[in-house]
Amino acid sequence: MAHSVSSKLIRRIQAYGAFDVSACFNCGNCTAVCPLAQDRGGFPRRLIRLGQVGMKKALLADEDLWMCFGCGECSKTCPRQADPAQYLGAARRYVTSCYDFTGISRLMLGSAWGQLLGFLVLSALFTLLLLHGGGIIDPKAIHEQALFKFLPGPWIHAIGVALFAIIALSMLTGVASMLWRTCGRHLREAPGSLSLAALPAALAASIGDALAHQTHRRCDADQPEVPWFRRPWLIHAAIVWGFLGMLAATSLDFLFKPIGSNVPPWYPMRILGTISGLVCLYGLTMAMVRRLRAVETPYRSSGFADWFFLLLLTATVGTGLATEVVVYLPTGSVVGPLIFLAHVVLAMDLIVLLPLSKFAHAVYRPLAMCIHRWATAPVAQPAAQPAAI
Amino acid sequence: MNDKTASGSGPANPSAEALRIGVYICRCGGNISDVVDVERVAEVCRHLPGVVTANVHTFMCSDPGQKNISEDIRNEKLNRVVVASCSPFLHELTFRGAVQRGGLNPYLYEHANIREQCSWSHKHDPQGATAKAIRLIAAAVGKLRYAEPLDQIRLPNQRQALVVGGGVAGMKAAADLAGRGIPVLLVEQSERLGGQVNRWNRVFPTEQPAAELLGALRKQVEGHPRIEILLRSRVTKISGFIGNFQVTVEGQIGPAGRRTEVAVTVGALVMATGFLPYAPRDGEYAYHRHPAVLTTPEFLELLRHAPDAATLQFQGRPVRSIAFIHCVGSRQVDGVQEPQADGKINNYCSRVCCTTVLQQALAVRQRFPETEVFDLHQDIRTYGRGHEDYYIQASQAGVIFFRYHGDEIPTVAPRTDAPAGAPPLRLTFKDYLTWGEELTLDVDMLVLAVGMTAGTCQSLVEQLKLPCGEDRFLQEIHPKLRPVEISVNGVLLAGAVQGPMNIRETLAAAGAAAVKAAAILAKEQVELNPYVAQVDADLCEGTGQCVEQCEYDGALRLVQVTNGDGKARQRAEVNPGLCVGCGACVAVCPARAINLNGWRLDQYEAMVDGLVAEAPALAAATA
Repeated sequence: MAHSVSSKLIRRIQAYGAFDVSACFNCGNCTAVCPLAQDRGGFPRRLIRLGQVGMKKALLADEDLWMCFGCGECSKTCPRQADPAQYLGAARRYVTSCYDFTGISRLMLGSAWGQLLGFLVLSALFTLLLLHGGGIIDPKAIHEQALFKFLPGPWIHAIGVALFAIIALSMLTGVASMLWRTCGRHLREAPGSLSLAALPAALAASIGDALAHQTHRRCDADQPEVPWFRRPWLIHAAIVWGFLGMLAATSLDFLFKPIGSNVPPWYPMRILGTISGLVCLYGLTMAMVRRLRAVETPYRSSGFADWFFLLLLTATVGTGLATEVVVYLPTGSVVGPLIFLAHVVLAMDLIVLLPLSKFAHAVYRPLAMCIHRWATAPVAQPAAQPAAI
Repeated sequence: MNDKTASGSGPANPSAEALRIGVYICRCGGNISDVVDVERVAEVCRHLPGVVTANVHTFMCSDPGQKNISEDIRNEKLNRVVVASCSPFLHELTFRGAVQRGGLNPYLYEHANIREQCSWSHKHDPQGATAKAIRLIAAAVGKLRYAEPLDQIRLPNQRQALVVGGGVAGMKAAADLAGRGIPVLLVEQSERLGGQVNRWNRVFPTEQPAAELLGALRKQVEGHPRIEILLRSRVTKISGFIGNFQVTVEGQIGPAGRRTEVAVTVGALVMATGFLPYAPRDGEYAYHRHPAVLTTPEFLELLRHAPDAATLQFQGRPVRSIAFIHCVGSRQVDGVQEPQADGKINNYCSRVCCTTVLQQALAVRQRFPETEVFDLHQDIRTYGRGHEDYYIQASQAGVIFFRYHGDEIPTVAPRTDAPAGAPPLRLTFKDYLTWGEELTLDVDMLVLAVGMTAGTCQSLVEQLKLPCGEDRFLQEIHPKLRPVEISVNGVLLAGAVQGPMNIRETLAAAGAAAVKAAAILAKEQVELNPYVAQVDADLCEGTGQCVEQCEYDGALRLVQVTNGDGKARQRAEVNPGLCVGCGACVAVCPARAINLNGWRLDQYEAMVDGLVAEAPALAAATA
C-alpha cells in the first residue's frame, strides 16, 4: 500500500522544537556516526525521513526513537546543521503526546506556557487539598507528630492513591498504545518474532540496562577527554540511582515505619534516603550546569521540557532533603511544615506529570529497549528432523 | 624493398651522398638512458646511411641541447635532423624551432619517441628497448631520406566574422570580435536579440534580472560600428573553407515580410545557435493531459505575471502544492523512456535544470509561503559556484525532496475522482530516500524540469559537415585541449550549441571562440599545416576514385585540363583549404598519383624498411 506524502507531520513535530530539521537532505551522516546505529536499519536518518514524508503511523510504531541517549554526535557532524538530536528529542515529545489519550501532554509538552500553567494549577490543587484536611497552620507544630496534624497522613495517602490510580491508568494506556503499535509492526515485518520464550531474557536485560546504563555508556565511549565524573551517562545514572534510592526509602518507610513516628538520623531508611538524595542532587546539578554552559552538544539544545523536568526534580529532592533537616530543628517554626508541604506538593506534581512530561521517558525508554531486544532476539528454530535413512 | 616503388616518386630527393643527417639522442636525465644503452644506439646510428653525426645529450630540450642542433646544422652542414627523445606531443615543435634557427626548413626534421615507446614501456628489457630504439631511429632516418622542404599553406583571408545566433553567446562573441577590430555580421532568426534568456526571470547565481543582463550585452552590440545585426534572418547557404566562407543570409525586412538575400564572404564563423528546451511528448508525465502540468519555461512565464500572495494562483485556483520532476528529457534510460524522433534517447545530463528547479522552488517558498513544494530528483547536481546555496536554502525553506531511480520513473495521473478543491494530480513513485518505499503525492501543480536539446543548426551541420556527438550537440576537437574548435577549420563553437551550459559557461565559451576567431582573422593570410594531399598531374588518370572516397566536401574535385597536345583530360585537384590530410584518397588511387605532403608513400616504405631491417644488418653497420 503506497503511502501518501504529507508535510503536516514534520510541521507538528517542529512545534515540539525541531526547528532546523528541514535542512536535512538525507545524507545519512548521522547514521554513520551514531554509536548506537548498528543493526538498526538506518537509525536515526530513518526517523527523520518518516517525519519528512509524513509517515505518522510508522513513527509511532518505531521504538528506535527511544534508543537515542542524546550524545549529539549526529548534530556535531551534520553537514546541513539540521540538528538530528534536537529532532529526535522533539519527536519523542510529539510521540509521548500522541500516546497520551487525554491530550493533556500535548498542552504540556507543546508549549512552555502550557507546562507552567499545568504545574501551577496542579500545585495549587494539591496545596488546597492538603490544607483542607488539616485546618490552620500551627506555629507550634514543629516535630513530626505536629507535622502530620497539620497535614494528616490519611489525607496525603488518600490523595496519593487516587492520583496513582489516575496516573497509572494514563500511563498504562500510553504503554499499551506504544506496545500495540510497535509490537504490531514487528509482527507484520517479521511474523514469528516476539516469541514468549524470548520475553523474560529481554525483560531482564532491559531492566539491567536501565540500571547499569550499558547502552548509554556506548554513546560516550569515544570521549576520553571527558573525566569520568562528568560523563553524561554517569550524570544520568546518578539521577536514576538517586531517584530509585529515594523511592525505595520512601516505600520502605511506608511499609515498615509507623506514620508520623520520629526516627534518629542513623535509621537505615533515612540513611538510604539521604545518600540517594545527595547522589541525585549531584546528577541534577551537573546536568543543569552542563545545560547552562551548553558546551557539549548533548546539552546544547535544551527545550523548556528539559529544564522543567530538571527543575521540578531538583526542587522535589531539595525540599525532601530539607525536610529531613528541619525535623531535627528545635520546635516553634513554620518553616518546617512549609517545606514539608512544598515537598509533598512537588512530589505529587512529579508523579502526576509522569506520563505528561519528559519524565515519561523513564517508562518509555526501558520499554522500548525491551521491545527491541525482544523483537530482535534470535528465534529458536525447531530442531531439524533427521533425514530419513 | 621494391626498387621500382622506392624510386618511383620523390622528385627532389638528394642522393645518398648528398644527405647529411644529424641524429640526437636524449638521455632524458636517466628516464631513457637508465634502460636504453644510448651510447650503443649512437654508435649504430652513426653507421646508418646518410648519418654524419650522432650525439648523446642529457637533456636535448634544454638550451644547450637545442643550441647543439642549430650549431651542428651550420658547422657540419647538416641537411636533415632526427631527435630521439620523448613523445612528439611534448617537444616536436621545440626541435622544429631549433632546426629552423639553424637555418634549415623545419619540415626536414623527424622525431623518434624512445622514452614512452622504449625505456618506459620496456624497462625490464634493456636489450630489447635498445634494439627498438635503434629501429625507430632507423625508420626516422629512412623517412627523412625522402623528406622535402615544406611550407605552411597560406591562403587569402577574408577578415570578417559571421556569428550565427543572437543569444547571449552570439552577442558576447560579436562584441569581443568587434572589440578586437574585426567586422562582424550577427545573424539572428527571431525579431530580437537575447535568445532563450529572454524567457528567464532572474538568472542564478547572481539573481540578476535576465532583462538587465541582456540589456548590458545588447548595449555592447547594438550600434557598434563594426557589428551589423540582421534580425529575422537565417543562414541558408554556406560553403568554402577557413579564410573564405561564402555565406547566403536570407531575411525578411520590414513588416511586409519582403524576402531579401545577402551574400557575404567571411574568414571565420562562430556557431552560437544555442539549444531548444526539451518538449515533452503528449502524455509524458501527463503533459498536455492536464493543464496544471507545465514545463520550466512555462512555469517561469506563470511566475513572472503572478502577484506575490499567500499561495500561487493558477487559472483562478490556489496552488497549495507544487511538485517538480527533474531530468525530464535528460538522463533518459533505454527501455524506460520512449526514444526521440531519431531513435535515440537523451541520456546526457542537461546540467542547468537542477539549479533552475531549486531556484524556482525557493522563489515559490519565498513569494508564496503557503504553497508547499516537493522535489523529485535522480540526483541533485548543483555543481557551480553558489549553486549549492540554492539547495541548502530550498531545504531550509521546507522543500521536501524525494529521489527516484532513472529506471523507475514517477508516474503521474490526473485524479478524475478527486473531490472539488482537492489536488488534481497524483504522482506515484518509489522514493529511495525512504528506502525504496512506494509513495503517492497529490499536488495542485506539476512542473517538469526540461533539459536542453540540440538541433538548432541542422542546415549548417549538413552543409559544413560539422561533427555531432551522440547527444546531437556539435562536437569539439578535444574536450580539454581544444574546447571551442571543431574539426572544420575556421568554425568555432560558442555556448550551448556544443552541449548544455549555463550562462556563465556560455559566455566563457563565447569569449574563447571570439579569441580563436580573432586569431584566425588577425592575419592577412590563413596559415595551414602543409600535410595535405598533392596530385602528380603527370600520373593522374582522372578516374575520380579519390573524389568518390573523399569525406570532405570540396577538398578534391575533378577539373578539365588541356594537355600540350590540345586534348582535354580530367585531373584531380586538391583544395588545400579544405583537405585535412586524412589520406583516404592515397589509398584508392590506382596510379599512385596522389600523395600526402610530409607523409608520402615512399616515406612510409622507407620507414618500414628501417623498422624491419634485419638485426645483423644493423649490427653489421657498427662493425
